[in-house]
Amino acid sequence: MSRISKNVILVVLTLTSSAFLLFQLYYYKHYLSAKNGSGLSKSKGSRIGFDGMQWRAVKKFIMLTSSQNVRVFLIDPLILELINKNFEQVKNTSHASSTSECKVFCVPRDFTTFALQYQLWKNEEGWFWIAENMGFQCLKIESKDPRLDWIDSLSGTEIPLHYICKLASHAIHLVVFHERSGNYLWHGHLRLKGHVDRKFVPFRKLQFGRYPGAFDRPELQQITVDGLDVLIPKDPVHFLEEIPHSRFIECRYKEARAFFQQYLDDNTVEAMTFQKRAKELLQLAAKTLKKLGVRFWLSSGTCLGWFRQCSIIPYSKDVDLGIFIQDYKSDIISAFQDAGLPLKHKFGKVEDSLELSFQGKDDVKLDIFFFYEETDHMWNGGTQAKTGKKFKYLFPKFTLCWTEFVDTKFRVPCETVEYIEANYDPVCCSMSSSNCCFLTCNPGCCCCC
Amino acid sequence: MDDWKPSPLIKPFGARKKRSWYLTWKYKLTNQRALRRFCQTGAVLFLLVTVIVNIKLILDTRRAISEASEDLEPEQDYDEALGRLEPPRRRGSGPRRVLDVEVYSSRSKVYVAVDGTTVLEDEAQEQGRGIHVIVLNQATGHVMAKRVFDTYSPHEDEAMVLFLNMVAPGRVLICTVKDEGSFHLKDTAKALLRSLGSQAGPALGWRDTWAFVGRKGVLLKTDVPLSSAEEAECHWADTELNRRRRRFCSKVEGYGSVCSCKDPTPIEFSPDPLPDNKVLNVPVAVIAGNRPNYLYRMLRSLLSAQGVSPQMITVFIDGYYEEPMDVVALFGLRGIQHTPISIKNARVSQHYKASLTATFNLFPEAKFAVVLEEDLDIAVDFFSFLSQSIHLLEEDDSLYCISAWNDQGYEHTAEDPALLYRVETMPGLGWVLRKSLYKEELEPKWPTPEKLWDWDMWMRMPEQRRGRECIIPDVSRSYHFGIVGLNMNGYFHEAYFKKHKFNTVPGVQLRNVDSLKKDAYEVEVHRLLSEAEVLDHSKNPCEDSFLPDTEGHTYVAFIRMEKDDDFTTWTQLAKCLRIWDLDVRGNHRGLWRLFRKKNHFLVVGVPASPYSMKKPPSITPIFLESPPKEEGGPGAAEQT
Repeated sequence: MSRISKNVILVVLTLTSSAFLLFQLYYYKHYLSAKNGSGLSKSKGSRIGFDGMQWRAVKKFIMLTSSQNVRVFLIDPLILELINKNFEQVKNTSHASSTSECKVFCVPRDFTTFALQYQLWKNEEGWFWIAENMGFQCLKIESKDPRLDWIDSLSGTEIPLHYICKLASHAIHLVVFHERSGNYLWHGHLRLKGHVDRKFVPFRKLQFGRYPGAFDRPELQQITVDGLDVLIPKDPVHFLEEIPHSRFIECRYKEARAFFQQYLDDNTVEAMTFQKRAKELLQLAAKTLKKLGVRFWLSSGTCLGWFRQCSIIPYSKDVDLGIFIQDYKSDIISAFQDAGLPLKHKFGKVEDSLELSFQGKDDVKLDIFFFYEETDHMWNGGTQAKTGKKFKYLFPKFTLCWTEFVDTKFRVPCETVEYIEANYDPVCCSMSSSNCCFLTCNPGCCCCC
Repeated sequence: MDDWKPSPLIKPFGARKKRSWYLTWKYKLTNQRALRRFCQTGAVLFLLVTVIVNIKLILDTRRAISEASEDLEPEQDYDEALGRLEPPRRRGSGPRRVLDVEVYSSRSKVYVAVDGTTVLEDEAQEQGRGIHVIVLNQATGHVMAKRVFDTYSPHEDEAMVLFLNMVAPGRVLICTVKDEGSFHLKDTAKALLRSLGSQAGPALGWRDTWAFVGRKGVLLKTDVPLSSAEEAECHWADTELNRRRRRFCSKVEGYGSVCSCKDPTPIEFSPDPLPDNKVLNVPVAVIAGNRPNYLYRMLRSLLSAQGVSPQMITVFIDGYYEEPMDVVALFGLRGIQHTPISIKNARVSQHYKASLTATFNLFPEAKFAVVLEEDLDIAVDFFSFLSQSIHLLEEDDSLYCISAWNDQGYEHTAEDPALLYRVETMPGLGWVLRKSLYKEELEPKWPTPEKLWDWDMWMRMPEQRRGRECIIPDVSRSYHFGIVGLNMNGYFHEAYFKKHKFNTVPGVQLRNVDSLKKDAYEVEVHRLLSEAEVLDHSKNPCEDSFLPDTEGHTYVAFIRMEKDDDFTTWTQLAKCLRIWDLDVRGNHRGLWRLFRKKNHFLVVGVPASPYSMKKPPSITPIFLESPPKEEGGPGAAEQT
């Protein structure tokens, strides 16, 4: 009898234990699928659809923002491309899309990227609170406000730059755009602070935030994709084109202040008048070239002024811009003429060291240098108007970044130091040391003939 | 998974019907000892494995859950950790849960140290006179409020009573006198000090030194026992607003009902939106110093005004003061601190410059900015007033600003909330600045830090103003309540600011706004002068009977004003009318407009004013001589 009961107890225990094990396994699977949904859904392949985590996360996010009256718009480059490709199709099927296949928001990805304009965000803190209550886990990246950098004595409430809100396996990356002087939108660099969980989301895969960026303020339109109403830029193609060249660098205000502490700002009436005129000329040139769609950047003395003191050098006599020769358009001259800037000089040819010089109002000159690209360097030609002497300036290869200067958005070479050094450094002379001529074409400059 | 089938080996046990089958099996197995042994060991092993797997699973799930909840609110955890930083140190100090308080009071210096840490030290000359009050948290001993009440000046004792009454019971109070604190310490304040347990305080004499340490509600010696942190906290519902409230109330003291456990004052106001609000997107810069209780009062009234948009408000604090920042955070607004540059008036004007520049940087799209100060009450229709008038600033180049303040609008001289004036003086105290004016004219030549100028005096100078005028309402839309400040004290406030009229009527429809434009206003003034009744110039203008006891009439008086800058008679008239007489304010081409006994009262300076031609030939302009002794310079300004 005792043996039987022993066996019975053993069997009962085994049974309950295995039942419990099964129960646990079932739950563990549930938990795993919630955690690594993307991994599982990928393996399942065909199961991607409207019940996918991704689609649900986006839907929930859109519900949240619309209920809070927050105007977020989609800026995810991959999704915008998909939408753009299927644009006509999406439009036609928008009414029936709830039944059709989920095409855009169900392509497996870790993130969907949205943006909003901070200015229009009424209740940020409350929004955060509601998002967390709805099941999102949100990470907020804040930083100090670069718009206050110019005034060294100010320090304020930090501004939000990025939100990353995770719902199970899918994360929504919300880029916060801030308005800047010069009618453009700026977003910040996504820098993780010490206490942030580095594994919160795969940060490396984020599409925005590696660098700060600058964008034209997009007009928005409402469309319905995969049964979801979303706002997207009215001109998605333009927006997509902006993304790769959106990197923004801030003027080095701290260094500029140190410079002024050492050399003192020139506050004479003449200096201020020149700066005002040069500023107006720069803004006019920027407007004209933008209308033509010609890419340009601040060069020579103007670039040095931006880099060294974040303002126009008062003793310079002109403003200088650079343009790649492949961006040259023959109607540049006429466009400037129409804008009230007649051509003063034209040196060189389109094939070789072209330089255009326009006469601005009040005796301020606008010089445009055209840059030629060789395999390992770039160069431009300069001609001294008085003597007709020609110079060749060599530059290491550079890319272009946005920056803010005189309340306007301008491009500058991202590798500014190298660029300016090549423009001004005497090292350049040693390359052709035989006939180095010390001309006063630029302050502190030694040009190579 | 649900359709899992147990192994045939064990299943039969549960099925009672097949018992016989089971028994046969059993007997068979009993005979095969080895096999039975094997099965038993197998079962035990299986049992062990399941137990281990179960334990592991439970542990895993636990960890995952705790991780998830950590991820959920990382920020909150961080904050709590910060908040906890202080108390553990104290708790760690073991059984000696008392504060060691050292207080010093003298003519030139006051000093308070708590547990060896200096929390107050003031030995600056000609500053900080009066009773210094410090409030400590009874649980942690850290400073929650620091105030000075210059009870040598009038009304400061009232402020002190108000403050002490707002301190929550149980807090530790420290009072000490610097220089003089008894002259205007009235009986109410003395009674309060007595009720707090002070013996010497109520009998405080001229230039006595005095110090007092006590706990509100109980009198104690200088060893103050600490109580536990839990007792000092309230249990508010966990909302985003209450999070802000909790953060605020655990840190500072002296704001009364905002921190009351039962039924605390709201910190969010939902004033009615303004239909067709033209100033919804105009940034509002609040210029502040270290007067957190003023800032608190100011922000409350600002956030209660109809048509306010909180995200457009930025508070600029001159200095790295914590408490004003806490007040700003309580209301969920943006606060910016500014490193003080220079001293006195120049410091204020540098702060203004930095704040205005920053405002236009933060709101690059804005064409205007509203500039407010921390010691102003804002009228409920402040934004409505601006919304109705702001287009003037866009359309009329001859305007310098729109201001909510009428320098001459006292209780007895202002009447009509729908009426606007044009004046040549810049009143400040709640005004709108055009961006182009600031960026193109003012910012480049703003007084540099070494010039000890008042920014407002500088803005009033003809080089800056260039003949342009400001729009003001008859009844002010702001009220200047500040008693302590750089150029302010109790006497000055009582004489010039206390009786200022302040509009409390919501939604006032301004009358005929477009008649404020340059040319239209001249037409309007001429019409007014034509219909005005000329007063009896033989009477003494200082006497009340100078104006008849009528209502709704328009009267005109002519005073002598030889040149554009001859204000001798006007100043004397202003003095006896008990309005602003420290410099000339509120004039428009030698014309002043105000109300007396509910009648519109016009004063024209003859012959300097172009309106002199309206003077009947028989009338001799009134002339009042200035008293022989000049008292007080006109330099005093009302700004902080």
